[in-house]
Amino acid sequence: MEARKDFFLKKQKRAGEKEHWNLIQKTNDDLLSPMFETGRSYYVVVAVLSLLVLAAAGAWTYQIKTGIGQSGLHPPIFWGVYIASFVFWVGVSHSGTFISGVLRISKAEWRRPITRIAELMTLFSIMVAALFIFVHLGRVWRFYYLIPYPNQRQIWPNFRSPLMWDAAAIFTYATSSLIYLYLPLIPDFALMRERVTGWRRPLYRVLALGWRGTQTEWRWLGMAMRIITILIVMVMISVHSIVGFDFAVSLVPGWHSTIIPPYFVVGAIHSGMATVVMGLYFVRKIYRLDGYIRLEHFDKMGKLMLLITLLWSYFYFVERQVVWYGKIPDEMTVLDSILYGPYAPQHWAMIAFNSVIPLIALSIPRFRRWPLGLMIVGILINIAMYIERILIIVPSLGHPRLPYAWGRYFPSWVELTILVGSFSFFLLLYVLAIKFVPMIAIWEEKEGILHGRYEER
Amino acid sequence: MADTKSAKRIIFGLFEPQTPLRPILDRLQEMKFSEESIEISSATPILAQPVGVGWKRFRLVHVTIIAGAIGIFFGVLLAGGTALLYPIRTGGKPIVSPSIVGIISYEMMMLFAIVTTFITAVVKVLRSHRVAAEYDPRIDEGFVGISVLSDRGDPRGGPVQDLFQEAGAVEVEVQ
Repeated sequence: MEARKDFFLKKQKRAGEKEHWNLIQKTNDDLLSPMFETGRSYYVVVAVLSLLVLAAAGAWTYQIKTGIGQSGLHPPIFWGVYIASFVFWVGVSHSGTFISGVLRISKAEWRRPITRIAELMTLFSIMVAALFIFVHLGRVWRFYYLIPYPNQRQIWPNFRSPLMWDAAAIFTYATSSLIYLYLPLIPDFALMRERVTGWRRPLYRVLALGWRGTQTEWRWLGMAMRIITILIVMVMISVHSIVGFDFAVSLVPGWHSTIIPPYFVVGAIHSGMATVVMGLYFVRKIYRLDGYIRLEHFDKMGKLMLLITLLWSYFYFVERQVVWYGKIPDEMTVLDSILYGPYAPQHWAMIAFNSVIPLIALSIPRFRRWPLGLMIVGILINIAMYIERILIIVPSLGHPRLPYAWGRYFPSWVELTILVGSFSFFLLLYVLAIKFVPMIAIWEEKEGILHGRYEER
Repeated sequence: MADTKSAKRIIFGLFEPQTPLRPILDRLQEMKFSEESIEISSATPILAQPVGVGWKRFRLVHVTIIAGAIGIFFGVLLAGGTALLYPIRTGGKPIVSPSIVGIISYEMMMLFAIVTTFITAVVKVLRSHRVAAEYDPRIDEGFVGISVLSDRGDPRGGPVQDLFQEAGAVEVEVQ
């Protein structure tokens, strides 16, 4: 009991210092202001994004009505933009879990302004990814075939299909991500319920669960978060491994490789971190949160990105090198088409954007402290990671073992509209979330003040 | 809950952050208030261990482990039970292989563990409200609150209020 009190008093003393007290109040005001200040440009952005989402919904409706033949998917290529997008968005969803989870486990102080931005990305991107499962199904009204329940048809979901593994993994991940986002939001909902009016007030009242800020509540919250953080990192690794299994367990040249699942996990973290950096840049810039999202955060994110770029490059080189050295004809047909054939321009652009440029840029300390530069690198990595998803799928499916069946693929307008709509949907959810939750966890930021991490502000 | 409200009262003192709370906590202990009846409210977690209820008896991680085990069982039934309920065979082999049962069971284990941990924590948070006073918005601005739970007829109620006043409470309230 004595030790408990001393620990408490040390922090209480710090909170009582005038400088800290002022900072606590300023933190409340600064971090809540994006929720209350809404300019005309905000509505314009929401309107444009909504229109693009509506266009995608229209394209999807058209595809449902007229059939999956409206896409560019034809023999031998049955996976295209939809599956590439699914894999891409699952990858982006790893941003929150990896950055937030790993940094929480390691108790990194600099995580505080980053976690909420990353956790929101996880939830929204996994929602978009799940949507692509339905888009890809074609006959979407039969999605219930995936749900295991006793039925008159005497048909049970075929668990041998990786699609069922995906369904189980995505459901687990989406549920866990929602919980992982919600838990640290509870104290912030309590803060907001007293400061908002209108329809938001009763909503926050319910979401805050009657939070009173007692140490018992904090203890339960902390304990639950510690446990769930560890579990969700394990789920994260399993989810993208399972997405990797979609490819690796088949005998298609270019896919059947043991390195594919871990390579997918690393690739997912690569694109996820790039997306978080983009989010950090825009939130900081638009809402003038320079005092919270500081250059040191970009520097540290840059270092992490450099590490992941090295890892991704290593995995990619190992995969290609082993195939090239083996010279198995079917595998070489696919590899040749990527390295020197019709997919070479996309491939080398991907290597430049994904590996060469980030490696050079992120190795320079001054560059890592340049938010705009880091954001541009983030965009390049995401473009490259999307190309990489396409290059995994299309060249392999386009070169089956019998050459007479070879084919090419180009997405139709329906696929492209849905693709643009998916990006718009992600952005729209994010833009709407800015008005609903603080982009930076307020209580975590205040906790950082008590830990003495306020010097640079 | 209603009984608790009618038979018990909460004495709440709100203090500025710089107020030394150590003497107040010591004094409350001298007045023979148990640890379970004292609660401290703050904008951030500031106490290494709470002065709360039932910590020694309950470990959340045990709930997680049990829920995970149930999840594994559910996963085995879901994926492996398929072969029993719908005994379709392909090439003389069962329709579901052990590795696939492993994948589905792993995901179910995680799902059950995470959801159950979450629900348990939420229930515990809600139940802890019996000891603490109503939320005061000033706590989120840095103030610290102390709640003391006692019987309505407890003669120590008055001295507790006096103690809070003497210690410099911004506000003392009985709920």
